[in-house]
Amino acid sequence: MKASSPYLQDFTRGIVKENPVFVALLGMCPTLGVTAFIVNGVGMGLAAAAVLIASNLVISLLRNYIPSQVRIPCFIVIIATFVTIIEMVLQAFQPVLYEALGVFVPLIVVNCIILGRAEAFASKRPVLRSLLDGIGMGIGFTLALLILSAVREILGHGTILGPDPESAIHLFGANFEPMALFAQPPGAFIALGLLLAIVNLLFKRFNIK
Amino acid sequence: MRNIIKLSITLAVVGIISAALLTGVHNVTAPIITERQEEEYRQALEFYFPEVASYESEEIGDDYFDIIYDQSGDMIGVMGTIEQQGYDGTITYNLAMDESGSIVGIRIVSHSETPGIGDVITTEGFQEQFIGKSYEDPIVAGDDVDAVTGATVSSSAMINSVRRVAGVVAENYLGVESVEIDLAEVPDGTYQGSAPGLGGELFIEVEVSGGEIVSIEVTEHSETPTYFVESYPLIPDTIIAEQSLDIDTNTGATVSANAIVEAVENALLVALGHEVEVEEPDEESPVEVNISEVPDGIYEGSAEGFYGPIVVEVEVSDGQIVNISVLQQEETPEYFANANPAIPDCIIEEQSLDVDTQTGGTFSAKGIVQAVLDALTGALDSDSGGEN
Repeated sequence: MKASSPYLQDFTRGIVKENPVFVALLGMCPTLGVTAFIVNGVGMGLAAAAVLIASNLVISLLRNYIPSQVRIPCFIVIIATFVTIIEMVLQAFQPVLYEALGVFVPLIVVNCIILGRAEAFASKRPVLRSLLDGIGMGIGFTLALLILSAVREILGHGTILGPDPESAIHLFGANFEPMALFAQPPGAFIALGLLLAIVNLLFKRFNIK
Repeated sequence: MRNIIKLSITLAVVGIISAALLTGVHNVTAPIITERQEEEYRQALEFYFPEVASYESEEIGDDYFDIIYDQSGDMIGVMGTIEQQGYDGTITYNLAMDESGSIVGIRIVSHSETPGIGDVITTEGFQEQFIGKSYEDPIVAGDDVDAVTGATVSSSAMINSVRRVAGVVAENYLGVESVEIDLAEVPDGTYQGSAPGLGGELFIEVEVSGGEIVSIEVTEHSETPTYFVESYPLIPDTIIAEQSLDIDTNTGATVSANAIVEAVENALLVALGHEVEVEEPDEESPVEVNISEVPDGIYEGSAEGFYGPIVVEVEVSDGQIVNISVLQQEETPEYFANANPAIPDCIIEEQSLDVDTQTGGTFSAKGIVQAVLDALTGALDSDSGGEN
């Protein structure tokens, strides 16, 4: 890892070592809120990733023009703009996903991952590195949501690719009684806690620091 | 000073660019969004009314209705868009009724009921029990439609809302005249009425004197207390103040409020000598049997539980119920455990069938009570009939 270029590091950092969900524990609100189904979790991850990449790019481009006194309001306006765009696009082209994500789409504005990366990284780094950082963090967030929502959907509903009955695949046959707890908010906490334990264990085993 | 101007300009520029961008995207997506929503609605409409040629929108109260016409311009049905308070937020749904007043379809547009519990209202199994029901049917939980145990609030909210909307449609589009209540014609007296609320039947007592409602008392209810206070005593007070049943029931507990109004209406209709479809009385308050008249013996009785018949064996000795055992049942074990042996024990202890069935397994509990009643009345009948 030491010898690798800073670009590669910028890209991979967000996926494993500084994974926004499993390591930094940021953006918990959508992480817990929309991960009852894989489709919703991944949709949320991609929406947030798109905003993150776009805002990282624009903020890095504008970093020399925005006076530091007003940088936070500027960042928020930029992020909010992208979130609103994503919201309108989702509503127009992905209505089912838009309905399922509900209030969590506008809440991407206050997702601390995005403002955090803008403030800590993109506002001080050149464009390409910020872009790579945004993509890496976006993948990391999406990946974490994918894992959590897979656990919750399989245990809580016994399906994958639900809730749409046309695409849903029932894994355990018709007589399977799903653990409804995992479909509900308390189940999200429990599943996340278990996953965090597993991630910590793996990090320890493979000496990732 | 120059600094402040610079800061302001920066913010303004960022804001303006952002606004411009958003306007652009909005202009592109807004027509698609509206078109898609209309398309979805039209698809539902065509699904329920294949012969639809045109429709006309109308707003009645808080509900929207589309009156649907076929090629020749005859009305073939009505589709309503209704917003109903559920357990957790608003349930928006479409209710389609044909020209004879039968429900042809229910479609949940949006809801935020608890996943895995309240979202049972979106299932076909729950919705199809309404199909074919008409405004003349009671549409009451536990009577001709079933509330879902564990999701009582969500399912009752839907049932009560469908009943109300069916009435609105019948009155406004199907030429069914609602009976006008002329308070001046109501003779002085105290009248009882009931209507289904959110938790079960709600009973009221209304006192009329000199052509005016002077008091309304809720005598029995199973509403959620924390919500019920939003409607009571506000709703009775409003009815008395306005001397009218046409009042705003939009409180924090709309279902309870509507139930109070409906119950008062029923009481007054009965007072005026109208026939009112009264809910099966033995469903909520079991017919009492005089246990002391039941001869000693062991009797078997059965009644419907939630999933199937519940068969009980009742042992009577010296005019007392001494033992009740459930011989057969197909209930959900978790729920049934809440009703048995609690309910038999309660009946034996109180020597009465008028026991509180609000357990975690209300349907099973009511089933047991009904089965015991069935056994005892059977015992009395066969005794008086001399067939024993």
